[in-house]
Amino acid sequence: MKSLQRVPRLRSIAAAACTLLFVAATGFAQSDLQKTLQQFNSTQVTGYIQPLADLFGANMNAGMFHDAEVPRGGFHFSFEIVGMGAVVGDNQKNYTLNSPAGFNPATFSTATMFGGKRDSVVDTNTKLKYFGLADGFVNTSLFPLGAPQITIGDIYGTRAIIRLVATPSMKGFPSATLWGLGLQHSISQYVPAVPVDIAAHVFYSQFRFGDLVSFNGTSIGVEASKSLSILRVYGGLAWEKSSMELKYTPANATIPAVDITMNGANNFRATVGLGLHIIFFSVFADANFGSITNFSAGIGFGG
Amino acid sequence: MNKKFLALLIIAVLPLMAFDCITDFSGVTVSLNLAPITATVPLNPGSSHTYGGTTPAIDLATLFDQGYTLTGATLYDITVQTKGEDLGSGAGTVTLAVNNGTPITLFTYNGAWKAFNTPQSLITSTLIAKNPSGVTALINAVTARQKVVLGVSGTITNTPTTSNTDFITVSVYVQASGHK
Repeated sequence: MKSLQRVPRLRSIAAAACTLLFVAATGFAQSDLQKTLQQFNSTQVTGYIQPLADLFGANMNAGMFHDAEVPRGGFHFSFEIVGMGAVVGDNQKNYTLNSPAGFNPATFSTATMFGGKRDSVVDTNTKLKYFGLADGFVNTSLFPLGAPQITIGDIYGTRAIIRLVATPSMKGFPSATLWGLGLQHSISQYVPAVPVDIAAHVFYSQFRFGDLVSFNGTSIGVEASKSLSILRVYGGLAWEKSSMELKYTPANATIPAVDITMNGANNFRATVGLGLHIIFFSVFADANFGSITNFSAGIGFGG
Repeated sequence: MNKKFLALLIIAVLPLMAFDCITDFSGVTVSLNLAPITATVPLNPGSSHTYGGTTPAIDLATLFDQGYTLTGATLYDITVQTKGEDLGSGAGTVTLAVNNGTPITLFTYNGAWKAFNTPQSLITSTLIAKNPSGVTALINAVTARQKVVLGVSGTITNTPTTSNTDFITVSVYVQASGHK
């Protein structure tokens, strides 16, 4: 009971901290990033920013479920703080950009926003030189995201999951909103003889940052878990889809307005994880394998 | 471990993860593709086989985002295109005058009028030749954000039969580098 009384205060702290995380991770978007992107047309910018769609999309679809035990009835409430991190691979640090028409070679490799210094290409005939878009500006091996979430149920073996973070417009930054909504339904209730708990889920989430960028993510999958005293082992398979829409008006008036949608690289993931659950407190961590490898970990209160 | 302490510890670490990975933008070099520097000159009927014209002063600072400090610039293409009836063959010179200074040759072109109906590029065509000192003057003018005037002049074997149907357009493509 004492733990439950602490939940509201912790929830306030958690919400504030996660708000900071979102502003920190994406706050650059409306200012310096936007000004950088505004130098380029949609063809040029796609490869430069594609890794953001891949990594953010993979993070959005992580960390929702870490327990397949969903009773057929009864009250369940849990507040969780989840951190996700997508591994930034070498293939996210460089991409192939078209050289100006007529250049030989016709393409060259240069830095994405996660890469190092921009590269250049020199035409073999004329020795004319052309540079890639820009240096990378996100220097990390793990791209992070964090979100608070609540799970609530259980009705007919079904549990709802809700993610929500909203920041108001402040100091030149537009408002940012992340929300997600999903359902988890017990499969075990139909096949009680199976020695592990099995559930299926569907989850949709959306993140918007001003008018510049928005992300959408959908995950559909099954998970299984087995509790051994306070220890829980879990795993799952999921199909997923994510996309990033980017909109801006280039600084050069001769370049048409940019409005492009890029799909995230991850379409399938396998998850393995471990959790500890002690009365009203839980911790969990898992690894997710797909086109993008990412990890999620969190703490939860309630149960 | 105290639950509240553990929660606060994790919460405190999450924001730091994001702060740590974003580079200071002032150190990021950005390529700035300038709008093409263009001049179009009409050719008129008459007995003269020469033509010529200049652009109004072009403020190079207006061709890119002025919020950037420029660290360099490169020329990456020049194109020449003719429009209108076949005027035989000809040759021309494009000059650059920086801040009302003495014009310097930027590049020359030479060939059949019809060949230029399809835009000819410095990269792929042998009909255009750049003048290195003129290119240097252009690059310096870009980085110094100066005003330039392009001059186009030349000769042609046949003169147009009607007015406002024959033109030569030259375009110069420059990419600058800068940072915030």
